[in-house]
Amino acid sequence: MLRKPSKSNLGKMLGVTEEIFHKKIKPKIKKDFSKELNEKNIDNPDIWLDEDDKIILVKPRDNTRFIETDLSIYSYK
Amino acid sequence: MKNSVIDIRFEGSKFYPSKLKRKLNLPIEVLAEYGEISTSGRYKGQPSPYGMGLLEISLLEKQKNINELFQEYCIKLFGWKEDLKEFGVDEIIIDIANTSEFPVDISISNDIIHNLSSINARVEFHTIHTEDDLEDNNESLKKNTLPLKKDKLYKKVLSSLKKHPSINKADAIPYFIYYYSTKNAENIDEKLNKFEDFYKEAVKV
Repeated sequence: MLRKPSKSNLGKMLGVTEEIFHKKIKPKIKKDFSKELNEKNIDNPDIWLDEDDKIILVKPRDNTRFIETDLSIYSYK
Repeated sequence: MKNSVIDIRFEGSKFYPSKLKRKLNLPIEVLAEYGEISTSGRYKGQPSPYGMGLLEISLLEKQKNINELFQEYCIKLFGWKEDLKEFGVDEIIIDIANTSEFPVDISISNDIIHNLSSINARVEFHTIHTEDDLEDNNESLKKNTLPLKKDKLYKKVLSSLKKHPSINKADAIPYFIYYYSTKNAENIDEKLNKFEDFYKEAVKV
C-alpha cells in the first residue's frame, strides 16, 4: 500500500530530524532523480513510499504524475 | 531551530563544493562532491555525477534577522558570480524555513529578483513542524471543540481526507485547528459544512 509519510516521519526513519531531512537528504533525492523529474515537469515532489519503503516521487496535488524510483528510502541512511 | 532560518544550497553537474569552500572561505558543507564515491542514495558506491554544498547562513550570523540576511546574501551571491561559475555551480537555491508558529515576513525587490535570475538562483519557502506540533494541536483540539461533538468532527475530517488524498492527516490538522480555534464552536452542523468549504480551499493552495 502506498503512503505519504510526513517529513518528520521520513526523518525518523533515517534517524535524523525533519530539518536535517529537508536540508540534506531531500535535496539529494531530488538531485539523484533530477533527469526523471525534469522529464515529467515535477519541480518539488512529495515523497511517498510503497510497501517495501521504496521511494515514489509524486507531483504535489497531482497524483497522476509520479516516478517509481525502485530505491529504498533507507539507501539515504 | 530558530523561528526562521535561511540556507543557501549550491548545486552543479560538475560542481566541486570543497574548492568553492576554500575559495570563499565559508563553512560550506559538502553534501556531494562531483566525481567522489557517493556514500548514500542512487549512486552509492559510484562516483557522484553532481556536486552539492550547503551554506547555513543563519548559523553564521545569528544576530541578524531573516530579512537582513536575505538581502545581504543576495548581494553577496551576485558578487561571487564568477567564482560560482568557475567551480561548476549551475543552480542556487535559497531556502527559507520557518517553524509552524511563526510566519515569514520578507520582501524581495525588483533588483534582487533580477540579480538572482542572472545567477540562476531561486527561492524556496517551507515550514518545519516542531516536535511538539502534533501534541499542541491535540491540546488545541481539546480546548476549542465541544467534547460531546468531537467524534462527529473527527468523522468529518476523515471523510474529507478520503476525498482529498493528496493532503495527509498531519497537513490537515493545522487547518482544522485554525478553523475551530478562531470560530465559536456553537452551531456545530453549520461549522462542519463550512469546514468542508474551508478544506477544499486548503487543498487548492
